[in-house]
Amino acid sequence: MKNTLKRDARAKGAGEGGMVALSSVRPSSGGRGGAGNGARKGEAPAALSARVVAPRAAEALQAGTPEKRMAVRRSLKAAAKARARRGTRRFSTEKVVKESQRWLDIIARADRLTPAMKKRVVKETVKSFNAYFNSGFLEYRKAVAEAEQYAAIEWTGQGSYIEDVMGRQYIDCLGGFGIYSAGIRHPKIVEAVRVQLERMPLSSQELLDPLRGALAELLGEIAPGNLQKCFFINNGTDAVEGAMKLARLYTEKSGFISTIRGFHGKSYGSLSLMGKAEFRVAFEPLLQDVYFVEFGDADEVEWQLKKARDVGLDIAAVVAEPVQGEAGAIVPPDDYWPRLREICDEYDVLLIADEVQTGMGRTGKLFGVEHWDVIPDIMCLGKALGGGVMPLSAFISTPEIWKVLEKNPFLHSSTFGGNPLACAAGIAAINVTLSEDLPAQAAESGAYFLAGLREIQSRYPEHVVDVRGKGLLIGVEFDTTEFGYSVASGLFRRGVLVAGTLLNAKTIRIEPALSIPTKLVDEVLGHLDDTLRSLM
Amino acid sequence: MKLPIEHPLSRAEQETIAAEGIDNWNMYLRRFPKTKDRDRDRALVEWSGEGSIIRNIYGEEYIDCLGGYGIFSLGHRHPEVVRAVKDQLDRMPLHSQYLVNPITAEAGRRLAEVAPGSLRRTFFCNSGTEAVEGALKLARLHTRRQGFISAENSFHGKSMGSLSVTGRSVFREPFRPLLSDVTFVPFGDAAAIDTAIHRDTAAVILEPVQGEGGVIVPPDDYWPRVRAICSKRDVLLIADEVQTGLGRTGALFGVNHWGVVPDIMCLAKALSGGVIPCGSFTTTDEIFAAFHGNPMWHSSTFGNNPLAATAASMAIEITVRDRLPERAARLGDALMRRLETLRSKHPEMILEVRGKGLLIGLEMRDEALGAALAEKLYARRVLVAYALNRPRVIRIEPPLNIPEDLLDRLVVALGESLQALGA
Repeated sequence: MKNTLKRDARAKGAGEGGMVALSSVRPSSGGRGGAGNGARKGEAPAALSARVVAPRAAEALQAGTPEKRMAVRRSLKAAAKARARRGTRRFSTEKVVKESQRWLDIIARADRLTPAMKKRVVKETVKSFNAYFNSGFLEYRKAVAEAEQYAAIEWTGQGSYIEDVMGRQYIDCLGGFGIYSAGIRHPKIVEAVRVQLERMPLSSQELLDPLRGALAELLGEIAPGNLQKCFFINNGTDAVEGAMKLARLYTEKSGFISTIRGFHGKSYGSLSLMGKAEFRVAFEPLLQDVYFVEFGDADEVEWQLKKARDVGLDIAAVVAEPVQGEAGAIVPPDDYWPRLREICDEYDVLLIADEVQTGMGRTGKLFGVEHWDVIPDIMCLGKALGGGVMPLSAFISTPEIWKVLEKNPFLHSSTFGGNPLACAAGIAAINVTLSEDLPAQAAESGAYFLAGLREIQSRYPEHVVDVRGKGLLIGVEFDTTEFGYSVASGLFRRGVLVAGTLLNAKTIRIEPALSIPTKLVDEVLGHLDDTLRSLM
Repeated sequence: MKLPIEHPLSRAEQETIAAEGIDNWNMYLRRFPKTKDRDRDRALVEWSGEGSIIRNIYGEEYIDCLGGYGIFSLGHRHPEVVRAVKDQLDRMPLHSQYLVNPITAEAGRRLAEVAPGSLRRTFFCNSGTEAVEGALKLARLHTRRQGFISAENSFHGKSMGSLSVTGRSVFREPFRPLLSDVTFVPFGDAAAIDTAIHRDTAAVILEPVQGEGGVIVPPDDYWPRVRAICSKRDVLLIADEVQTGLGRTGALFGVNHWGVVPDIMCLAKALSGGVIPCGSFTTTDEIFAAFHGNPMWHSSTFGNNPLAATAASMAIEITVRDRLPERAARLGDALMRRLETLRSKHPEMILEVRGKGLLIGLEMRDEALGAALAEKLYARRVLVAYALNRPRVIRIEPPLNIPEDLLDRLVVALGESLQALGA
């Protein structure tokens, strides 16, 4: 049945497409379209209530009374029907222009919205998320869907605060999973981007763009040891992809050793290094030749390399995070990285440090590997590198290794990578990170935060199982996922955002701006204590 | 370099920035392979752009007929895109990734409204290669099968997944082994796809018009036949519209030329509005539902950022409103006729003129001649590029809103350059 449906949709679409070949815009399909628009208006609220107010997930259907479950099923059915009816309908040009103009007006008047307009923004956002986006997200971020009267629609932010469209403020202890090391909208970074926007946002890709050179110089000069040559792209996963390609190209070997629960990204190369089954299985087969070892256990790496040498497996590189981020801020033993360096030298394989989350001061040093004075062969950066304003990532290596890329510069290239706007943000981010000494601030605030959390842990030892971290990359582990989730949602209700979600709330991660004032740390600790007390 | 640079540059500053720009490129990025002539190198340092014009650091103007390999469909710094982006910059450039971000939802909605057929669900990312990575993952997830069929001479990106379906050995060879179970077939041959499909084929991935392959336009019945084959054999059809999308070929999407609705469509380049990197893949509700099992199966830190979404929303709006696809079709036809006239004058140098809309290729006799032509055009302040997979093809991809007199200047410059090369 599934397949028949699919074919029907295709056949319909193809027929319709045929009528408008060569025209840029799909016209509304005559009278039927008009009638349909009316129907859509009537249906939208049903879809809304089905998909947001009552979460669609299995849990929602299991919980609650039988009547409630029936109601959920009914509205889901209605929503599905509405979607099916809408299947092939499209707006006319006039409608698109009108609708988009309305949004432009909203954007332009962002700080002067009337309460009615704000409510409308909330409603439409939830609707658009469900209709055009991954509706799973609203359920996934259950804390949001559960929030009082209106879903929290983000609107603006500054420093350690995020404000939603209704004007409610939240302390951001999630930091966009590590992008907001310099805080949200750091004025110096925003200013650099704004001015660059006036001149040349993206590069011609034929002439030489000076900002890419300037950022490369800065990075080349602050990176550990002899890491000097870099390549810029837009995000962490691309940085890891590039590092893997460079490692294979240089060593002429194909294998990698990665760590269990390691996280390096979700494109096919980086996903192949992913140390968590849940994210891999549906997309297999991935790259071959990847071997996994326990994080923090250098002996196992050595054993794996020895084994590979004995049986003739080619290993190009060992890849690891200085501190495992997504796994819940796992800090390795102090001799781990120095030993990795020794072992990689001994077996003549490259050492790749994935500093996407740990780089740019997050752990209390500019780069995570600096805690142990280790110089990797390739280092990946992302997240905070763009100053919390632009997507930007990089991989950086030694001139010696880099030579293999210079023979043919098109062996690895990127259309958007290293665009001037991102580079302006990167230059400003480095400037801010060093001039405000964000790494030192992270070390200091991190120690203070951890001490406060441990004090709280001592009072709720049966629920708070572990408090760990380095600098301001902190994880708090609870006894159960359910409990962790209650804590995250309790904190949310008290105006604090942390990374604890429906699927992974056993450990909540705390990654605030590195410049978070002590007063706010105290406030967060107070809210956590309050939340835990209310859950006892 | 101290940022921001808000004032007009003095001559001394220009010299410093140019010199440092070149040194930094050579020392910290890739050695710039082209010339050793310092003065010439300095002239290569770009500084600002507007519409179809790029200025170097000394303020000298170049006509951009390369269009950033397709990103500048709206030209450089389209004022409406810049204004909207600036406004968003002042409010929330990136997103919390926790609360609901309304700007990106809006971009998703706009894309759905103009996308072919019932394509409606979008995942946003930052680049074309990521869009293809996501499309491949979704195809496997939805079909529970593994294999892909791609075209020889195709280009889909350079990360491990997209590289696996890129049909060009020079980019693949050094990085093998890639994903297994990818079959390559000749582009334009629908029957070959039918033959290549096997029990475990998840999807067929194709460009509507091969861009990096040297601007190869398939026969008119190719896409409809591929669509029919994929439907019949129950295999997904992925259209890589990274370069062809948003008006480039004279229709809003390349597949619209043939009335075909793919199952997944990848976009990037022009989706950026020429301002903020943006990529996406869009599919039907039914196929996307495979992701609903766990939204974290595929995710991206920067993917949904509102700055890029603002640029994408504006790109869609302006492209549709200003009827840029029609304009691309009209200007492209006229330009190709004039190029054809040039070819007939210099048949020993230009083997073929081909293209669709404003994605045009000049197939030169050999690579060296192509490079010499690009060089001569550069001296006449016109920028063009060669195709990655086929360097003897000179690619012409100007902004879709390029003023017609600039295209006249391109034709004049081409005529002069060819004359000079022939002499």
